[in-house]
Amino acid sequence: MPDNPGIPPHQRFAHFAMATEFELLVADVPAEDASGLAVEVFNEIDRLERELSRFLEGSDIFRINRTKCGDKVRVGPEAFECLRQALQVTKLTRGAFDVTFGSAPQNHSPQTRRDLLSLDETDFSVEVRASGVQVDLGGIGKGFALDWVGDILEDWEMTHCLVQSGGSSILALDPPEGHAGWPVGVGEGPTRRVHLLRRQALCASGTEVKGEHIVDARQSGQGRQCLKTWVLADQAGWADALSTAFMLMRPEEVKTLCAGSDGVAAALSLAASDPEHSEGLLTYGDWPPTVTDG
Amino acid sequence: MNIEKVTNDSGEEPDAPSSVSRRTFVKSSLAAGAGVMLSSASKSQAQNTGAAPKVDDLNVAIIGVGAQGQTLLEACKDIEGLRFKAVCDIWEFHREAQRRRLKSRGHICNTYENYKEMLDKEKDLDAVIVATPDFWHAPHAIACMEAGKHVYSEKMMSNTHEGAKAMVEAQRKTGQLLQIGHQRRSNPRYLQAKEDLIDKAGLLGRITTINGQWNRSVSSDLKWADKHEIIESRLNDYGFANMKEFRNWRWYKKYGGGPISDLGAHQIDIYNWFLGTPPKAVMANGGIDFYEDYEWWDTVMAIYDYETPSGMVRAFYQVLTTTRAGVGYFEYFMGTQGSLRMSEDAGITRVYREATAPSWQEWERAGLMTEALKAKKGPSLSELAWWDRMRGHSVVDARATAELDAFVLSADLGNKKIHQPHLENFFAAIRDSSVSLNCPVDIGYETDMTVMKVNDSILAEKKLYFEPGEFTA
Repeated sequence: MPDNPGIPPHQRFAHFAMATEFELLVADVPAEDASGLAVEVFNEIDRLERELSRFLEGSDIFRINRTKCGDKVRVGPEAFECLRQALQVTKLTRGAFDVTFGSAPQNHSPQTRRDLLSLDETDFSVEVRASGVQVDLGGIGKGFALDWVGDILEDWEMTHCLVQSGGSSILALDPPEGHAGWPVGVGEGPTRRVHLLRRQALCASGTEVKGEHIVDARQSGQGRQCLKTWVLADQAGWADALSTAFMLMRPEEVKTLCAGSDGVAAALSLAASDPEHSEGLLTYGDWPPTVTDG
Repeated sequence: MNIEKVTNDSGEEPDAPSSVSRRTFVKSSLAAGAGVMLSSASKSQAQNTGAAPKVDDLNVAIIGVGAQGQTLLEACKDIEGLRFKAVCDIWEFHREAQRRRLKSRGHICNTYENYKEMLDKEKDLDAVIVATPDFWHAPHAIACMEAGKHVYSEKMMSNTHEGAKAMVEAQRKTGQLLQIGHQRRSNPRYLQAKEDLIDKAGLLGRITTINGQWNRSVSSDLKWADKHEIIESRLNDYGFANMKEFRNWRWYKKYGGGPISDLGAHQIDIYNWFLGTPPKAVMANGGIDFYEDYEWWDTVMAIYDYETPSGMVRAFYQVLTTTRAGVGYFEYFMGTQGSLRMSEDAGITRVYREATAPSWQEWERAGLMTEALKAKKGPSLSELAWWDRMRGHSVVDARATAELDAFVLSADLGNKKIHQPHLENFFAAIRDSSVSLNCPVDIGYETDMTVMKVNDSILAEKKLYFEPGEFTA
């Protein structure tokens, strides 16, 4: 099997949701079956948006943001699991990733910020433990949605698929027949590389599209450290959240986290002014070999 | 992903993430409760079965757990005192998914394909939620009421006059509660608009015109995974021709009333409610202008005549299924003093004051609403006029055209799901006879008749008048 036999034949479907464009790429199935799968996938993404958006009245996240200190609100498994993963990433990154960064108590320490929400898995309830808590899943929701609809692809037994949102969150299941992986580009210009994704998620963060939108909520946070980050993991939710966190973490912190985390790899493009790292990408973890673009 | 323990500089040990992989999680979540939730579910089960039921706990079942059934179940999750006991659906795929979702919240449910078997075996049910395709509402609701259960039925009540009438008669005969799922009637924002802004404050003046719409983008057929296909003979047993029609029943005449019924009914119901009367006549047009293999009209436009005590109101409504144009869905009540754009989408709900209308500051001070754009766009029109006069330099300043003053209603859902207040009203009425249903069967019937006439008018290709007594079964 060649490493890079070119762009494999596939069908492409697009849908606007969560303020960006989702795409589903399907290979090796008849067109009618692929379009039916796309309808199911995009309907589910719309449903997820109605539960995870902080803007839509009645969504589980909207409801959490309207819950008073000391009160509990029951949420669905979608919001519960997404929050559970988010809080785990918060702890792992020591607050560099924080879905409560917009909360009123700006002066909470990383330790107390972690306790703004309490999840109770016995009844899927979320207790709000401070006044003015605001949850924003913008840094994890799209990746989480890809993981979630990945189950539909499995259930429909059409797994030769890639699903992505906004170009920044990508989940590849099985590659098309005869191909080693879905070719995905990383970086531009001389640092551009192509990876063959298979049963893996790749997510990116940067400032070139949305500007300086990543907030460092840590009391002693050092602010943005990278121009761009890319993270490989087997869950898109994790890759999405970590790619945001790594924008704010020092390279040595990223290196430590990747070394201790099975299946997580990162590539960092540092600030151009950094003389030591102005060329190429810093890579950590089991960052895969690249193939020739094209 | 399996992430090993990481010790940070301070010696603090971050929590190791779950070793449950994505696919393990998602499968267990949809199919059996998430990995972390799997153990929780068993814990909840033990707690649930071990705990003595509270006196006013209600035993509840649901028939029909497709998209709308799931929405209603989600809206029930923060209503205290409900014990879901049974899930009924002819599609095992949906039935099992919702049983497991309920299990993860501590509700241990039996599952049934056939509603008759469910009613035979589940003797201790207090209430049943019916969220099946429209043509099944009447048989399901009537059977439940005759079995002594209170019923929350999705709208429309039926796709036929006869079905709707039979539901009214069964409710009167059995005396059971029957709430129809026009959930806007319990929405705090809609209640505030009707009771305070229109009836009490009279902010709109005389309502002369209504414009409403629910426009959706182009959609494709709903499909299904091969392994979840229901055999055709079983579908036939339940009135469906085949799997395609089962999944896309809203587009076929023997199962439902089409987009005007699916979407328009919610909003035309608000026309009747806010005006306090059903219409006198309707003239409608529509057709299958886009989709090729559906039966129901994908484009419908209707104009109602309402004769109110204040005078004639012309009410336009359109439902389009080929474009989301015009910000989706709203009901826009236009009056001589102001206009009210209502929507379940709080973001587009506004009340606008006519420039010549008296100040609304009194109602702002009373807490009914706040001016929407004051903070973002500077002074309001009334403030600008006041400054003009106070300065005394000119009778008016020449500037860009001012927008009408826009206000946001103060009432909202708080931390509730959209359907939650309507379900709460239903369960409260079961517990407390002094609580009235917000959409009892008589109102649901009136709305059904109002909406069905649109399709009749399109078929007849002319304006149709409602007969005296047509709104009463």
